[in-house]
Amino acid sequence: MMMPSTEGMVPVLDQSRVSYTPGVAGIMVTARGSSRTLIDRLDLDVEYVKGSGSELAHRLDNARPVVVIHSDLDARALLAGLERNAGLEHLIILSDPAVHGTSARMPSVVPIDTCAPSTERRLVRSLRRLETEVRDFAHQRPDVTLTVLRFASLLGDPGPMSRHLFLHVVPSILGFDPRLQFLHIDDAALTIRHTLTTRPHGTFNIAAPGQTYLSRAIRLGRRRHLPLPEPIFRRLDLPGHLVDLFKHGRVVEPTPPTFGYSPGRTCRESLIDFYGG
Amino acid sequence: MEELLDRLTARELRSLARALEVRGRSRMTKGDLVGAVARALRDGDRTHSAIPEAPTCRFTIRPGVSCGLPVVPPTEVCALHGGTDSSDVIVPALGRLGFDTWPTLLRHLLTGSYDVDPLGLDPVVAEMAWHVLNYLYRDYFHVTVSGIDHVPLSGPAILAANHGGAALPYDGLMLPLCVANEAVVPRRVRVAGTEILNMLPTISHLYRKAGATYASPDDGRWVLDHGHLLGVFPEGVRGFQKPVTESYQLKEFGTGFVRLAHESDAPIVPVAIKGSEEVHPALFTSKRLARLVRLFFPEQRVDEIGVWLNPIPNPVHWFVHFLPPIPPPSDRLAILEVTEQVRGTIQRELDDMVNGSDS
Repeated sequence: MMMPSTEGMVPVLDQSRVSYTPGVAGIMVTARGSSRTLIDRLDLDVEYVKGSGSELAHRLDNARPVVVIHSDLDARALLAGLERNAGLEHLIILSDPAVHGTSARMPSVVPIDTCAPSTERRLVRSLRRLETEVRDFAHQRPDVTLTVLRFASLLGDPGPMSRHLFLHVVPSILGFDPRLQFLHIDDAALTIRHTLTTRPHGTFNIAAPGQTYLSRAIRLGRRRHLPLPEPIFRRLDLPGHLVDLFKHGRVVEPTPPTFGYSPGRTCRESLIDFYGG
Repeated sequence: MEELLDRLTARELRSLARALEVRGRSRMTKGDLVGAVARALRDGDRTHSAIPEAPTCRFTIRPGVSCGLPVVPPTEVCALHGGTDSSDVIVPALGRLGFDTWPTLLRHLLTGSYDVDPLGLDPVVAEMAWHVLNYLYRDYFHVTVSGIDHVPLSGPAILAANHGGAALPYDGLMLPLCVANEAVVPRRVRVAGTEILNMLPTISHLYRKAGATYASPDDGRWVLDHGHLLGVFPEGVRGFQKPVTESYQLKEFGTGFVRLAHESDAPIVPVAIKGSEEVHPALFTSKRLARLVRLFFPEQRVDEIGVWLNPIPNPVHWFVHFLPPIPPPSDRLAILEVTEQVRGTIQRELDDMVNGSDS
């Protein structure tokens, strides 16, 4: 089933919104469009806040869970402001497994605390900085429940990975077939809902159970596969951390049972939903 | 004939079935084995007797297309589609050099109707690699195996072997084939490879799909925790790149595998391989070449590279001896001691093999 598509047109899955106990609202700090579609899936009384870190910190209400979506804003100023917010009980940080980095010497199944040596990718560097600062924050404010969620490549959002996989002809690096993990955007939304209700404390990698090779994902979507030599592939309009991912791939350890939730769709079901939806 | 066969033990039946090349023998109960062996004896046709009668997997891989791989009666779906754990035991019932199954296998490969395991094992690619490499195993290197009974039939274990080859890690290919072809239960050996495999185009994903893994403690732990066999070459690149003058003289062993054995309580089966060092005998080793390799692959740890002259691998006769398992160390202090014990066992066996056979 081939759907007409051009770059930038990604299927926005038409499914009912995820219901959530009313009365509790999340405040989102967002700068990335893709994250906004994720939060929109939740039936929440959401207030989107934009601005610089220090401005935001002042505007956040007391006693409401706060979701921080990683963006280019000044995380240090925001966290410094939040530290003074006495009513804050729950802080959720949306990070990315890209924080692990990629390298030929990474273990095949990456444990939660393993990182490749320093990398020059902008996103990876800023994510690492954010997570370090969040850890300092947790040290200063032990009364705040802190949840760091690292979502695997989201399917169904307008992010670069979804856009790339939805092309008619999907380029990859010649000679490399990375192992990838995905997460359906609805499962991601459900994970956030679970986090808001149960308030688990800690850092968690969230990915659909299972993993797949890029070539198999492309075949599952009945797309054409176009392996390009690495120098040419690097010229494509893809963020640097994705270029690395397309070379070495990454599979993270499954979420521990202490988190209390695991995505309902497997990796393959997520892909089928993504391509069929 | 059935009454006669019925008197044998299951183990004897299984080895008989192996000699007769009965397909899917590893999954049969004793009753099935009796029937299958009797049939194989009557037919006299050693390779294809079981196939036409064997039921096939009914899993629908695409509307209108069913899987079609043979299954062993008690189960209804084949190992690929959830019948059993295909990451520990090789997908059975396809037989050796079964190129006639390739159309079916290719169809599976193209539809991707099964799952790969977290280390990247693709059972279909592994099966096809097994068929191809069996030519090397049987007809080129004429591998002779002894002591295969020392490989446990289930549960985690580490197979520690001596490394050699200088050009290509042929011993890394032959070690899993020994267990796949000779053992009563054809289990997979997840051989741990060095990081250069991750950097080379094509190799980078093929080696994973064929069932090997990257030599990091986390990978090793994963393999053992899931009860699989881990194949290691504790000498590492040092052992791989040694000149012919030092052949079969073991280099220093890394201790990582013994630490893994200690943590996972897995026995260590020492394996002595004679033959790998003669395939591409290295006249000398060069540090300059190693520097060149590090220039292109900065993440690879290598000090010396062997220089060999023959472009075609020598057709040497290989001997692979599996030795009695060594129990894992009970505490961390004994790790060095056990490492030396494994090294000593392999070295003694290698000395006997080299001096004894003189082939």
